[in-house]
Amino acid sequence: MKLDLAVLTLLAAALVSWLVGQTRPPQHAIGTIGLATVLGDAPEHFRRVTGPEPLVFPDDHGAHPDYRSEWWYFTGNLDDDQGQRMGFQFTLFRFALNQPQGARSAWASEGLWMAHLALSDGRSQSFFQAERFARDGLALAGATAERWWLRDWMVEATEDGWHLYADAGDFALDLHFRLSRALVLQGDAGYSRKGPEAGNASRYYSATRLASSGRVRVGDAWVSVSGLAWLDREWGSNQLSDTLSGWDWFALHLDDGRDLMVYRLRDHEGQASEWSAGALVDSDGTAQILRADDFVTEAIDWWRDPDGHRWPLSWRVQLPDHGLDLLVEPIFEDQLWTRSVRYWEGMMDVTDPASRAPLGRGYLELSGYAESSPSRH
Amino acid sequence: MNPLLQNSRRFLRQHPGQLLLALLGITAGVAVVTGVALLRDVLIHSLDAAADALAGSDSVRIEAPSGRIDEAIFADLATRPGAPDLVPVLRATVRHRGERLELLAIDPLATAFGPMGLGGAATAPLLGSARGVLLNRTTLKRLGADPGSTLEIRLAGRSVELEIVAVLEDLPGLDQRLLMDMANAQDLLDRAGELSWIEAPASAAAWLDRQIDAPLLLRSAGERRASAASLTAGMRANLTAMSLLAFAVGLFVIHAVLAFLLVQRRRQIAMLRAVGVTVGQLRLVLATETVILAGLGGLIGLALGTILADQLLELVRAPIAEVYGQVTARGIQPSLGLYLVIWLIALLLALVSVTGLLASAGRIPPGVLGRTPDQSRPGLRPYWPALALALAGTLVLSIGSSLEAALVGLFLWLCVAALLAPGAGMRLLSAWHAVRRRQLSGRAIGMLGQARLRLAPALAALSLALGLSAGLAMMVLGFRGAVDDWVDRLLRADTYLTASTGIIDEAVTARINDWPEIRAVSSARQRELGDGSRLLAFDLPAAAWEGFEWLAGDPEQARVGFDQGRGVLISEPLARHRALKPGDTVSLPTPSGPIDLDVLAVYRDYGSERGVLAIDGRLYRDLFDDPARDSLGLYLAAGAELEAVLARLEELEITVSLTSREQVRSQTMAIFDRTFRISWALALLVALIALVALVSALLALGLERGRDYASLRALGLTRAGLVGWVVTQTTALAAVAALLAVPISLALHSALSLIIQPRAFGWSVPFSLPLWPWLLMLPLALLIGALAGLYPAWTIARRDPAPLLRSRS
Repeated sequence: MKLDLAVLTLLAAALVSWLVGQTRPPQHAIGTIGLATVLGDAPEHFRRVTGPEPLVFPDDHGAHPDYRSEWWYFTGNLDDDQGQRMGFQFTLFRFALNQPQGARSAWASEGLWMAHLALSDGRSQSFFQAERFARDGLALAGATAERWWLRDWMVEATEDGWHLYADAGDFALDLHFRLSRALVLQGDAGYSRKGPEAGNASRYYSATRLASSGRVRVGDAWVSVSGLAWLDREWGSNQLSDTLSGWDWFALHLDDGRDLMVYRLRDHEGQASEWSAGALVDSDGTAQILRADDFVTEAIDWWRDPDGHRWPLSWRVQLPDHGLDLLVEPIFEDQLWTRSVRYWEGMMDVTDPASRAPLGRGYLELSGYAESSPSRH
Repeated sequence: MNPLLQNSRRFLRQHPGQLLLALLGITAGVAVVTGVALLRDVLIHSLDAAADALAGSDSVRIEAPSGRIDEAIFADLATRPGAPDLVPVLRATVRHRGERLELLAIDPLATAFGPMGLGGAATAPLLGSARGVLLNRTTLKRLGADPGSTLEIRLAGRSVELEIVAVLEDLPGLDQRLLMDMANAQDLLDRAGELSWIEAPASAAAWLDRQIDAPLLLRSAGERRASAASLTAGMRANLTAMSLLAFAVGLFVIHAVLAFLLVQRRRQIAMLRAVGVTVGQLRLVLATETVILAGLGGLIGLALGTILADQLLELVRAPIAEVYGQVTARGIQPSLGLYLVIWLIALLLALVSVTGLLASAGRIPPGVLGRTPDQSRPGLRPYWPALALALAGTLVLSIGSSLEAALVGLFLWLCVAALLAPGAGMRLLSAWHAVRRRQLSGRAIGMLGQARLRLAPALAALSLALGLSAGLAMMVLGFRGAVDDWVDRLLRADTYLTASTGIIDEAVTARINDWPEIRAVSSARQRELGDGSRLLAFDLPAAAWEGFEWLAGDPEQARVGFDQGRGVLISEPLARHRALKPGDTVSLPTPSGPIDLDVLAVYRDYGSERGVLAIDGRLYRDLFDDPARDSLGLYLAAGAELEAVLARLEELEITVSLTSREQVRSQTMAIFDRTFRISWALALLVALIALVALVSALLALGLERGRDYASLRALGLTRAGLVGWVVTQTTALAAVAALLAVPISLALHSALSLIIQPRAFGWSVPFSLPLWPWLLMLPLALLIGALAGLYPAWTIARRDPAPLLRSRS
């Protein structure tokens, strides 16, 4: 009897579990893109950046479709009228497409465009992020000397800078940027080498100090803001060599009027590459290009994201030749991009490591930490 | 309790065949109900599932009355401040090895799953390959293709090779669909500048409402689902009715088997009663047995039904695509709620079906160790309940005009047939017995007459199943003849012309009209109206008017009015759905607002369940500013050869193809035949379940009459003779059931053709009486009866007669 009961129960349980299994909707796994796949090997027909070439403005503010990838990258620290901290990021990425030649459709496109819009709210320690894609067919996205846009997210050139308007629904930015310092050509007159091979380089220039003012909206309420922003412009075809796994990029506005940008390219062992570089801009706008051995960056504290990946968020940045010793720490930890591309981009405080006296503000970008399997300790 | 249950268990273990039959009956019934219920879900929900996959659940859709949206409108909307994520869609129908697939051109960067949802790396190849398509894994498997391979499709009369550039890991909404990039698709389809519609997430409804102007329309997911649901309402109602019938027959089986088990255990039960087991305890044990059997059988039935649903879906996929122009999902999506409801209902009905048995178990007197003959309790006369049901059925049929009322009425009448069939069957058997009294076969049949109650459910089930199959066959054949006549009459032109782009512009139409080989050209342009009905714009030469069969209105006046653009011709389904007749007015939505037109006449049409509103082509072009045609009918001049026309086609700049009248006709009939495959399949399932009922009833009979059979053996009947005896009985039962099925099928055919068809689909079918279903049913029933007798005959014949003869009664 017991055996029968057991067999019957087992049979019923097996049937029920099979039936329950049938009721589960199939899950669709959303893939993620690796920036390295886009920035790595490019087909032959794309132009390579192989040496210095004069940049021509304002034309070079527009897109360079001969190159495989390109970006327009705003970051900035803001204060609202109550003195609360805010940070923002607006990035427009262009990745060249290989749409068949001779297409008659107006949808035929040269580029896939991706826009990232983020707002870090220091008061609530919230990170808002929005991502969009579009193609340049039908003029849904694009960049000319005067206008950079993806649908209604738009940057327009003004007399003394740019105006950004982007509404992501739950938050929005409406900011004016005034160019208060000359454009800085990174590397050798804008030729920024990032690897040993010819073509492992990008064209790179920055507007390091943009006086920013305007308003931001979180939810329904607009608040007035002002602060400093940074614009990076970069394009190339094969800029990252296979030996690199990611980078740590710092853009800091120091209170003494200097602007500092350093990036540390990391190899697969996590060691700094010799192609790491940077620039220190004096308050009069004079830029000094930094080589890898001109600066030291040292991670001193880490944050573990919900997926278990460790991100080095607190840093010591030292430029011994320039007497700079900076502690760079996040305003809050969770400023992690969790959309198609996983990276950390957030607003930072810069202080003196010894006295903790404030020295400035900035932005930190960390890439290549989520591609590895999560660390266990 | 335990000793009683142990007793049951021991008994069932000794008779695994009966256990299996009981399980089979309930399993089959539940499986058919589950299969059809899941299929219904697919028919309602999956038609719109692609929208969910592209723009998220409950997406809204921007449509234009013309069915085409200028892409400039999309570009404008998408770049306005605050614009939501809009997904442009261009739709085309293609065929792969004769199967209809939907080609959806999208902008992969705009879909809800985004370029990353395509697996990141898939976006670039999709955009980069001029013939690149993307499909989900289910569709890939179904088409037997591999990633990276090519897929040959037919597109508006030409062959195109598409390249499978990537596979989506699973978006069920995209079953049977090929995704292509908009730029490549517009070039392939030669439809640059055009979109079919625009999808937007549900949250964008309010914004879009403020932004779009007439003639663009915003349709919610609910509205689209409602129209998809109404599109297939008739089909679903018919499927449901069939599945309930299958279930009812399944209940007959469980009743028959449990009755059989009771008969076998009379001796045991009498002994148990004698040792003090109460009636209540006995009933509880029997009820427990029923619950366990029905519970387990129900679970197996749910599992089999889930598998069956996939097979049924295969049967309806093609008709849904051809008749309704919709692509169904590959897979069904069961829910726990649905499973639970079906299972509980099965349990409940199984208990209800054995209440009579529970009562009779209680009547077994303690200590009586033999059977009490059937005839000692003649049972209720079924005439009064039958009369009451017949009256109720007639009442329901006459007071309501809905399909549901018709189905309920029909069901009540089938119940009447089920109630009366056993009595009528027994009378037939008595008559047969009277005629052949002196022969062995007559005696065998006479023995059946003594087992009226035992045989009643099986006889009712078998008569109904046979009647249902034959009635359905008669309806389908009659309907097929009507459709064939209709198509034959409708097709007046010598040949029909379509273009690879899907549309034929005015200049091409005019050129063809000027060719000396062409006597006249008719043309048609079709568009969907919001409620699923269609607007057809006709340019009709005199010869084409012969194609209409008028059901109401004066044909001559209708023609004059139509030519002058004064009114519309409506199809019978439209007239029925909207209760319209000649002289009424009908409102037609146009880009410049709705206009009222007179109904001139009603014509017979089997092309659209939701109905057709036909207007003159010139009026249409004025109202809709759409000079295109979907197809042309070419009437050749006297003496002109088709070859000459074919040569002329080379002159045209567009790729066109010709379809002969005969081809159109055979395609239509092929679609018709596919549409009814599922009905055949369900009828077959019902008949199979009825057979199980028959076998179990005969087994019960064999056991109950064990002593009689033993006497026959003792009197010198050989084992082979006994097998013949039992097979004669089953054959006779099947023959009687077949005879009873004749009036049942006739009634069913009439009800389906004259009441259900008009209510389900809106069209009437001229009544006809195809006889071959009957001619086929009779020999088939005899064969089935003989085969069904073999197992009981074998069981009975191999039993040793001596112990049976020694038993007390």
